[in-house]
Amino acid sequence: MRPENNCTWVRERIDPHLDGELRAGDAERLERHVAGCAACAREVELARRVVAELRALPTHGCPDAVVARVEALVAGIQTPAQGRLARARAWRTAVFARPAMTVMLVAIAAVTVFVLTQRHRVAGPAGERYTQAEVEAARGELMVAFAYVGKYSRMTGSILREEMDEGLVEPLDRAMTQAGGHVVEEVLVKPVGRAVTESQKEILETMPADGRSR
Amino acid sequence: MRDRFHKLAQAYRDRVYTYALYSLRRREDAEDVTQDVLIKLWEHADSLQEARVGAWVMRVARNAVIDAHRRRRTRSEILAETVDAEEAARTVAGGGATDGRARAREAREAIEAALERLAEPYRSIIVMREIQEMSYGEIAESMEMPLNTIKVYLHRGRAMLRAELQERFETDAA
Repeated sequence: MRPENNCTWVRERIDPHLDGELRAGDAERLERHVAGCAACAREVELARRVVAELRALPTHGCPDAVVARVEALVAGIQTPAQGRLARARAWRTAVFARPAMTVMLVAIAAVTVFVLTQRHRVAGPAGERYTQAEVEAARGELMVAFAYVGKYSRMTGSILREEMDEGLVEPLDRAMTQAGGHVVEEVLVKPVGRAVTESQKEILETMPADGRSR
Repeated sequence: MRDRFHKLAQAYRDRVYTYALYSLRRREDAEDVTQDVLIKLWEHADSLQEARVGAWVMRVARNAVIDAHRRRRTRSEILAETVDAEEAARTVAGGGATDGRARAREAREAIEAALERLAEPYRSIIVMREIQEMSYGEIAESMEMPLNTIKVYLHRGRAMLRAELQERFETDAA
């Protein structure tokens, strides 16, 4: 059987034919077959219609407010950590949408302020001190972690774990390296860990039945 | 740096937003993705080569859309999509509106819905090629795939859309 008499041969070539990618001989054979085969003619017509409908879909203009928000957010970005912070803040979920989250974040902020104002008294087990730059760098990483906590009310399960690695665990790792593991672990990581565990439970228990974001 | 970022943001804001909107079908989600991409553009604006910015932007946008789709796949989102699919089926069975403009609108909604449900990478390639009129070369660079693979996936994606829309469009034609 000549290939152009085979509907399968024709249908495999409909899309390349619509894009003008068939060799001249094959294009003519395809058109001859379609002229005599109602089923393949319908396939070609459907293919043409789908492509036409797709190409008629409009492009959309990005709202000015989106760009304005970005311009405002990036105005203060100087470091990669600040960039991650801006992306976390740009997330639409209100950080203070849930009372438990608000209380937790206020508590964490209070502990952070206490530690950082008392930094001249905080020392490692060997009596080492940390420079202002080291503490500020650690503070930057911790603020990234805090901002990502606000993101989590929209996420559950395995997605939450992946996001927590990037947004919470890794910044905390860096903070511990920058300002001393002993310092960060005793006064921040342990209380933060307990608070996040409690808020995770609260998020999962109080997620609306339809799971839709508010 | 600020000037360069501003120029790049103006050049690519609509392309990213259009891509995100057709991929996610919700303005809020498309705005979130666009924000995320533009902030990353700010962070990298100084280090991007001019000739590669477009492909880089679309690559970042695609990854952001994939992340957004994954975040949606909670039980409630699946339930919502099931409801939408059932409503769409009822519309097809019932014949929908009869006047020309309403039918055109319904056809557009049907193809947008089918596009959003299309699997990756077919959806991205179809949006980039058919709606955004990107060249095969640009798409290949954005998707980090060979050019011939892009063509094959484009054709497969169209075939998948035809399979989903066949009953809808044949009902229209009848």
